[in-house]
Amino acid sequence: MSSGNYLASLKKLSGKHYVIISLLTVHTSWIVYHMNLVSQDLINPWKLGGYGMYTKPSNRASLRLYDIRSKTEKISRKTYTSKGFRSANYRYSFRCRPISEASLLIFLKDNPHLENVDLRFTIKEREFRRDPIRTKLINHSVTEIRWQQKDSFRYSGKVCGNEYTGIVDYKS
Amino acid sequence: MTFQAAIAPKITDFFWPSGVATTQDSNGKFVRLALMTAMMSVVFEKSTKLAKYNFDQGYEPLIMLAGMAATLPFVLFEKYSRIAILLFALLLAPTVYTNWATLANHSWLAVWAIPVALLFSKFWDDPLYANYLRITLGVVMLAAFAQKVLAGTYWDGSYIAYLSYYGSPTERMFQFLCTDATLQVPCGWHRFIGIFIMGWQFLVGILLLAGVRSLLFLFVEISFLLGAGLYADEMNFQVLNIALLCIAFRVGMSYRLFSICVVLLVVDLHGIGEFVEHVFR
Repeated sequence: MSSGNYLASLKKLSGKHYVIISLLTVHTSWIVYHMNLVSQDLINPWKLGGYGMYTKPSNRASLRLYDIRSKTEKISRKTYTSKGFRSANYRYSFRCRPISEASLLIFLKDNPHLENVDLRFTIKEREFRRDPIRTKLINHSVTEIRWQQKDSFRYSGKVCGNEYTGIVDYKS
Repeated sequence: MTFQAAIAPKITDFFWPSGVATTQDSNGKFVRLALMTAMMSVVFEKSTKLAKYNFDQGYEPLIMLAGMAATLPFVLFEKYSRIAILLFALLLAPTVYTNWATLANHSWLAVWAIPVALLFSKFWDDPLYANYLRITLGVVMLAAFAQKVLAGTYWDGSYIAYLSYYGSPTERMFQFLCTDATLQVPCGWHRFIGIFIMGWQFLVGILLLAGVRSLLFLFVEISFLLGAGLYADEMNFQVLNIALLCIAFRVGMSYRLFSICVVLLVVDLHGIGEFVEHVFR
């Protein structure tokens, strides 16, 4: 097709054609980008619209909470709520995203009885293994908060080999 | 007479009305029924999520879902079809906005497919909408294939072996093909099933993109989707795919296929595995 004919055929396309072509382009581009993120283990393949479900067992990421004031003690799930924390961390779909400061604040607002308690937030994931074939529960990320004074705490954590830290003025 | 000419009309008569809808004729009601079925699969998927919802946080999700369900019958009427889709999309939008990071792929496909019908005054008559769905489904099939290649768990059969021992009751249906040793090194049958699934998804993706609209192909693909849904104990996504394929092929959905889809969606509310266990108990 000569460039003239090509341009003529493009002119025949309606606005709807351009919208449809744009939607297909955006959708396909996102899928390719999604695969790139999955290949680096940065996201959960089951989520975010990349059609990677049923490629491996769902990682079922979930929170375990520990009191680390003196010795490490697991806190029963029945004694706290983590819905807001989970939502603020996008239900752990972005696997290598550090636990956000905002989500820690939400957690403490939702669970005021845990204010001034040094805590460890561990995100557990099921990992697919082939030696033999099974899933194994692993600690995927760990974040600790330690209260410095009554109104501020220091947090530090590690996920995907990257460390992060910060200080939060809680009452403000 | 070719094989397809001899066989295809007979086996596909069960699923489709004898007058196959095209863009020119008046079988638009079957295409509208297909879109309504696609929307219904979204409603059923949301209702399973709502079963775990804590209503102390408000009744908005329930009201939204009831609103979405209420729009469904109106999709069938030529006069109200477009407004019903608009209302459905508006009621779906808040869920997509608030839960975008955790939305199931089923919902994402619905988002890419259903609201686009609003662009057309008569989506059931417009080949552009059918072609859009055909290409979208082709891309989705190739994406599913590529994700499986990337994971490497189908080439070696490890995922099928895993499901055969640790999956839901229906996912364990291929356990009998191999011994426990498949968990050390996946056996030939589990590898074959994994490679077959990948090969089929690749082939379907290519045929859809190439514009193949043979009824035999559609019949085989729908059968495959139903089989896959039974295996994975997850029918919502399969019903959505089937309904969208019926539009993409411009044949619409017969009342018989619609009835099958409704039954599957209802059974899926509790899970096919649970249903089968209950029957055998």
